[in-house]
Amino acid sequence: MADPVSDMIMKDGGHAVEAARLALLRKRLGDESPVDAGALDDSVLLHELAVMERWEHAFDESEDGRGPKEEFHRLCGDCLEILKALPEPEDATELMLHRLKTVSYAYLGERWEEAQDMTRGSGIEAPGGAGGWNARVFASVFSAVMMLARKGAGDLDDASARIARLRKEQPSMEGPYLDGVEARYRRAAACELASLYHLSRCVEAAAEYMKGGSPRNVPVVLDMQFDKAVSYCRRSGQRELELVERVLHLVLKKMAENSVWSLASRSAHARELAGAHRESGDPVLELLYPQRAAVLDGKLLDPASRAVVISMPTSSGKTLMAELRIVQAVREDPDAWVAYVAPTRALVNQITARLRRSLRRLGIRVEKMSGAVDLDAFEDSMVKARAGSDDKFRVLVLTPEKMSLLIRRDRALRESLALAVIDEAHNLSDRSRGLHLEMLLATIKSDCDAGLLLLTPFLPNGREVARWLDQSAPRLIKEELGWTSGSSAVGLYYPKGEKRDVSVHFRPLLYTSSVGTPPRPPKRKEIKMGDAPAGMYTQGHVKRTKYVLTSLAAAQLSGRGNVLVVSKTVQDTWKTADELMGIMGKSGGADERLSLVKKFVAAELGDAFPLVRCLDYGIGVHNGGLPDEIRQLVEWLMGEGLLKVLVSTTTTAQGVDFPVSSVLLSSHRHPSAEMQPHEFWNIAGRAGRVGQRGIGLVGVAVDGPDTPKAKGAAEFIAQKVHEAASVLEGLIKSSSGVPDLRALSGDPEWSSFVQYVAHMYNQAGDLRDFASSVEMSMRNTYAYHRIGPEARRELIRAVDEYGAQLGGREEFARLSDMTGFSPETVEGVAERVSAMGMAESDWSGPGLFSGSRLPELVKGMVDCMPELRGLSDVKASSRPVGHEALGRIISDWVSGKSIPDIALAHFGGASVGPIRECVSAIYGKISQQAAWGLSAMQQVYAKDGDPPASSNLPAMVYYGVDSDEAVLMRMNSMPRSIAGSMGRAYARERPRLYEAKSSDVTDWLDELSESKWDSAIRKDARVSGSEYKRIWRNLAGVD
Amino acid sequence: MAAQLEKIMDSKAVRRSLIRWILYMARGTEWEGEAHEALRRYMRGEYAVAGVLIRDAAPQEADLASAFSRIRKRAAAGALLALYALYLPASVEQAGDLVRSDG
Repeated sequence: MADPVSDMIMKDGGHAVEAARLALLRKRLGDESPVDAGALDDSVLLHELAVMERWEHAFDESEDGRGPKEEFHRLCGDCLEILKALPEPEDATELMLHRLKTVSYAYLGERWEEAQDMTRGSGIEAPGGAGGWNARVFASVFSAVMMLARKGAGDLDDASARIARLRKEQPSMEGPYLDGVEARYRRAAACELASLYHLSRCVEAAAEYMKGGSPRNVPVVLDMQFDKAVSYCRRSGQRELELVERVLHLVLKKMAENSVWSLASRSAHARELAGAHRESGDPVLELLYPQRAAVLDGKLLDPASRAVVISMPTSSGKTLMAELRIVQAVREDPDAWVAYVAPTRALVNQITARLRRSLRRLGIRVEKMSGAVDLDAFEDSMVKARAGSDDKFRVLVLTPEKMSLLIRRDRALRESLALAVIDEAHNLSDRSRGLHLEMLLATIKSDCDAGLLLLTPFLPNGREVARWLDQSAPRLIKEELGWTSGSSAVGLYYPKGEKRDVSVHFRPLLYTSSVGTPPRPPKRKEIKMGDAPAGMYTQGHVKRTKYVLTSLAAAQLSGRGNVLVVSKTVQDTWKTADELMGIMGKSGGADERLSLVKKFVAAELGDAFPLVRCLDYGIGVHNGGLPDEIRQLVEWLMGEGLLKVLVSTTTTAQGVDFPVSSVLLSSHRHPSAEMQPHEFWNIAGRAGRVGQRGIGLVGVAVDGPDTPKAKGAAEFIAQKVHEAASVLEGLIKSSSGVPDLRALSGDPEWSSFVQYVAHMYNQAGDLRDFASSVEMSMRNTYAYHRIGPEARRELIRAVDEYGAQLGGREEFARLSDMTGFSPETVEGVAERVSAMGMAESDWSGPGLFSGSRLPELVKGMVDCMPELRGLSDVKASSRPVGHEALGRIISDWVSGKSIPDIALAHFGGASVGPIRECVSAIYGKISQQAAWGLSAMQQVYAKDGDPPASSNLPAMVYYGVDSDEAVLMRMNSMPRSIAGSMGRAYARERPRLYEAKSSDVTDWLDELSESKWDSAIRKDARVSGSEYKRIWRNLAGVD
Repeated sequence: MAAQLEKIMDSKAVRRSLIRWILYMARGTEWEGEAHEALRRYMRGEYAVAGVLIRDAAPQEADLASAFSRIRKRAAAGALLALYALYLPASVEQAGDLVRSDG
């Protein structure tokens, strides 16, 4: 800042903006006391003047992100905050001018979501009653501009229609209006009308362009019409209108520039994708600021670059950028495929549904693979059918574990991979999954001639990661602190009071805010969130029990926007939900979507399952112990605004994607470790994206305002996001060097690395070639780039030694690639399977699950496969379950027994506790790990031969069904309770199951009439066929 | 005039709009610096409210006196209130054209 106006703002030191935020925060917390408008009034004047001084920079092409353009964005954002905090004018015309300005500053400040929020609901219609013709024209222009900002379904058409209606009415309305104006003011009135007509022409031109890319010279049209509008306005003496028109000029030009058509004229792939989105009924009307910048500066689609890292916040449109890169990749090579790697099963489903919607119309077939580590028979068949097929899948969405297995096993897939999109790439430094991801990237780098696109909300050292993946032309697209879609107050919440008189308070520590500015620490201020229900809790209890404190805070906030509560453990999520039900009343008049999900949960998990009751209160629960489909439905309810509070674990909260008003963390720790700053900000970034005039709130629970815990939490919040380190590097450092890999191969922490080495051994073919390629293989790891020369030599030495031990044990190295277990684990499994004397007939089909072999196999998994340690953790009535009981649980699960029945048989009853334990055990551990273990045992048994009779046995364990056709249904999002009957109905019509493409199955199910759905399910089913169909459509992403 | 002055005195939003417009008009002119100085003073609370009455009738003191008596009580304590009257030799309707054409 250097001009006199900016100097005056600087002297204020940002106090006015902070005061505005505090006022918004008070309002968010229910304090309706009037705002001190005096200071804000002066400040908004200065900020508006400072913005005015920078109008000409609105369209600068900035290089370093710190130029006048960013200053302009920041000032617009500050203007927005202050205007939001000021009381709205009462006069209708002044109110419309005020709202036009507020929306304009939101838009020009790159706070597009806030602009959209302000136009939701009643914000679109002009306030006030009927006035003269001039008032009618202005009101129509106002509504049309609001619609352009909102861009909801039909808004652009409606905006154009309103202007067209004005044109139609003009001949009959204009004359009488002017005749009624006093003669000495008639000329000014006519000028005002002329100005408004030209303004309406601008709005119409912008709407038409955003709809279909015409008129192509829209910037020139806008300049010309605005010049005339302003010129007439000057003559009319309407000062404020003239200034608003000048701001609207910038807004409409920016809308046109951000329109997808502006980009489509420069990129054939963008044009193709824009057309597909329009046809799918989900048009991309506008590119967000980061998207546009990434495409226009050439980084995203640079054919010379092998690795692109996109580091941008949640909701900045990364998936659309990935779609663009995918279209480019598949168009360049008609045989190539793209892998979209997502970290969780839920995300695989979400991404698949989204990519299918947008790419199907381009003839790009999108398939997904299950979250199971192994490939089932259908997936195997899909991969094999790819060779020589005209209708091959072009995009495959899958988890990192599945991707590793796939490319290690299948050479043809390795060779035809054109691009791997790695979603949530910050997991590279995740303790539990980071090493696997690093080894996957190293394998792709080593084995495939493919591009890499890494998507992440936070990666401070993104350039380093990009350079690791592509030394010659790394590309980083980074907009972390530089762009945010909303503002939030981040702070601490804690109890105060004495005995049974308890209240909860919030202290903001910083605000996430406008473009180009790091979060600013506010002055220390405390705001009361509300009182605990009278006499219900003691202060000491609330202070000691974070889930109670969090429940009180969530209940207070839930009346003013939805709340995401993040708990440390699965158990804590249920405790919090229980407590919340005691504080909040039942939701009156339940929405039918809520009732549908409630009915479905009761049918799948039993009436006693606590989520059933929670939904009556508008409370959802989301944790790793729930079936995927129920988690997906809970997310849907939250996204639809039907839940007041969603209680989630830290892990699952990172994967969900919906806007929330507030986020409350009952702890900033995982069960066994401190939460990483990037995890915190990833969750916190979801707050503040709802609410017309609000501000988001992110709170961390502490026991008081000045306690050591409060200090620790404040320090945690103030931490910067760490750079992405290599987990392998960390392992090497913590072990003071690279230990004997064979001794560590059973250690799940090292297993991924050992498997990588085994894969490299397989690729080399023999020990001599392996020895000569060790250094190259290690250079492909991220760790190698980060460790010193001594550690590098140590690493190569250890790998050399391990390779030497693989000599003569090649079979186990090969089976390691086939199974996803280390060679040593596979070796142990081979010995066990051999000792068991398994015969071909033992694998003959679902009979395995009712025979005596199953407990033996489970014992083998527990004894010989350290990677499956979760199986040993399965508990019933808080006591570990032995392999015999595990075998029986698996048997009942596969046979289709209901959860309440399994709970009754194996978990001590069918009440809330046993059912919760049963659901957590089956969905959180058994289905995944036992399926993986069984698959490995099958592979080891088959060795070089074909898979045993039914290679869907592991998939049956994974999905909890007992037939191939039911597996096919489950793969296509069918609920477990009707997968068998729907599968039989499908098999009757289409017996060649293995030729079924996922999209064909989806089409068949979607076209099946509701009566056929009814007849396919049991007569005594509690959910009707049409209701099941609705649930399925949602789960499959057909809706 | 009195009604307009009352509005200016009563409403910060109206003053805000007026000042923005003046500063906008001042951009690139020789009086831009003075406009900024005026803004600085306004932010410190040092400002005057000036009214200019334009008439095409014969001059008479009562034109300003009645407006002054109406608004004097509303003027902020210590703020300077100045009223001027311009009596034109042509009709008021032509005044705008005369100003714009440097006439």
